[in-house]
Amino acid sequence: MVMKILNKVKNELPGLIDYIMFYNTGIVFQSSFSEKANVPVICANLNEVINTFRQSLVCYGVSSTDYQKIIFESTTHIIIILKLGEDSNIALFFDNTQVDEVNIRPIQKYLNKLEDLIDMDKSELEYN
Amino acid sequence: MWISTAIIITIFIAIVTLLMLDKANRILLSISGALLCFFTLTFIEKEDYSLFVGFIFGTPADGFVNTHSLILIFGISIIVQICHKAGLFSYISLRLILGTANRPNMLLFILCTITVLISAVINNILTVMIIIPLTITVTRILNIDPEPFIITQAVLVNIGGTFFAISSIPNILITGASGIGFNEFFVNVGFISILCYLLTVGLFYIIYRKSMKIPTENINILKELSPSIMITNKSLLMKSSLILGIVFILFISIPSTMLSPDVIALSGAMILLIISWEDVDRIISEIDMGLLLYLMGIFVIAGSIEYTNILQNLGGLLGRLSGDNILIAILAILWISGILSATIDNIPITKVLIPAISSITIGYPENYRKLAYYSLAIGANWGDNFTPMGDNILVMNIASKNKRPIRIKEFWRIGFITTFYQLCMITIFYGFLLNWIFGIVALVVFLLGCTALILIKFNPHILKKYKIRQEKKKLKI
Repeated sequence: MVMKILNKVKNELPGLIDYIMFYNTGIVFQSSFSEKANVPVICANLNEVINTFRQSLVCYGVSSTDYQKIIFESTTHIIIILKLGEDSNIALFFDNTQVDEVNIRPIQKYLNKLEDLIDMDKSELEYN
Repeated sequence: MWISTAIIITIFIAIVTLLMLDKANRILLSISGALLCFFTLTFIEKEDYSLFVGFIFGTPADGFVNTHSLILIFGISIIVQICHKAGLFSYISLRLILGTANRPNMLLFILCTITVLISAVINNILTVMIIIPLTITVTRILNIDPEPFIITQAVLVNIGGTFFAISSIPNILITGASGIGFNEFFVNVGFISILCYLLTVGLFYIIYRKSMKIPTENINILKELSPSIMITNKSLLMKSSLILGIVFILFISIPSTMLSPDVIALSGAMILLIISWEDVDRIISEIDMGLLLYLMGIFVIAGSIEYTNILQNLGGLLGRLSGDNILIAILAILWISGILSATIDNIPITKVLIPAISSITIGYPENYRKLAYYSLAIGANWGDNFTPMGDNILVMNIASKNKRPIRIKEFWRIGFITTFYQLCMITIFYGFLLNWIFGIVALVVFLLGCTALILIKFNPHILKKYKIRQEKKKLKI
């Protein structure tokens, strides 16, 4: 189910090479990386990036450190980390030589669906 | 002598109080306490420096028991750290969870099994750090409340800690001091722990049966998780699991009189460091060296207390109080160590109680003497769950950090009930083992207590009265 949505995300975004969906606990849900890539280490690094920005905001004196997205752009690659649910994130890896501008609006509905599937808020917990 | 005795006892009480209140770093406390003991014995009792070396590392007379413990902890820590770095424990855990994904009723059982298995090999803190985030993630995907699972796992971590002689620091200290072998410990304590683990899981099923229903569609989403993603380095995973397996086989097959477990563990660790091609400095820096320093400090404090002969007198007093009745003595050790470790770190408690037990059991047959040490291992490990203090604070912190805070009241309630239940089971077991009449009486009292509780809980009249009282309370607020 999640894989299908992720494939749709990939089709909607030209230039998207890879994605990784992970939790703040450091657990990876899905990734499109090849077997050669060290996915847990990539996930740990991305988590560190998010935490570093959060810490910077704390030092800056901002009380709320909730983030929506982080963008990193080099001459060859663009990495966008998006907050999915309460404790989950998705990082999208683009080929910068193939895209002019990254627009994530077309995939917003898929992101919402992913959030519903893999990461419910505590308030939405279904007590059976 | 009485001045130094008073000072040392004051130091010990101050340290355990500060440890209990969690007001200062435990390493700082134990080293400072050790230094104060050192000054007391050096300047008042005019003792030599070699006495303190003996406190830290042991003496030829006690077979360098402390050195064996320190080396064993160091060796096992290196192996476990490399296994963890390779993702071995997370990989096994996720594979087992996904293996039973088709049977959601099994989720509690499998999460509990993973917890006890991991805590049987590695220390409780690392177990909790691996297993609690994994449990929260799994329950997040399944859209269920993680609280029952987290509380269950927090309780069972301590049961896993009594599976093997190397499963926890108290076990390492006890087996080192008493000469109990790896296999002997497993047969006499490990088996009891397995039995108690099964009974505890059963109890948790009864308590949480209503919150164990999992939506079917969420199980399909969980199945999309891939355990292989947990592996950071395949080759390292293979090498570390191989060495871990070999070390365990050697623990079982080689008697400690021929080759002590610490030498086996350290040899395994060195071989793994060589074949793994990992950065040795980094691995060593990731090991909890603070634990070793903390232990060294505790060794000096416990050694100083032993020097004052208080423990021997205390042991003698307990022996006299029990009227040389082995069953009373063993049950006293079980419950005293259990209650003490509920609020105080179980390492200093174990270290201090070992010489006391040695005094109590003077003149006892060898098997009864060992039984006293087994009850200390059980009490010191399991008593931790009486209160949400000690290692359980870490569980609360991890759950809160992952936005799934645990209600402290619930933790306290369940922890107390289960620990009381577990220690009652052991009391009944030892009763049957040493005095079957006492065993039958204890079993009947326990069953009557359970029946009364069930009757109170499910009696409609009492429930109605309780509800009315609750409503009145709400109205008052």
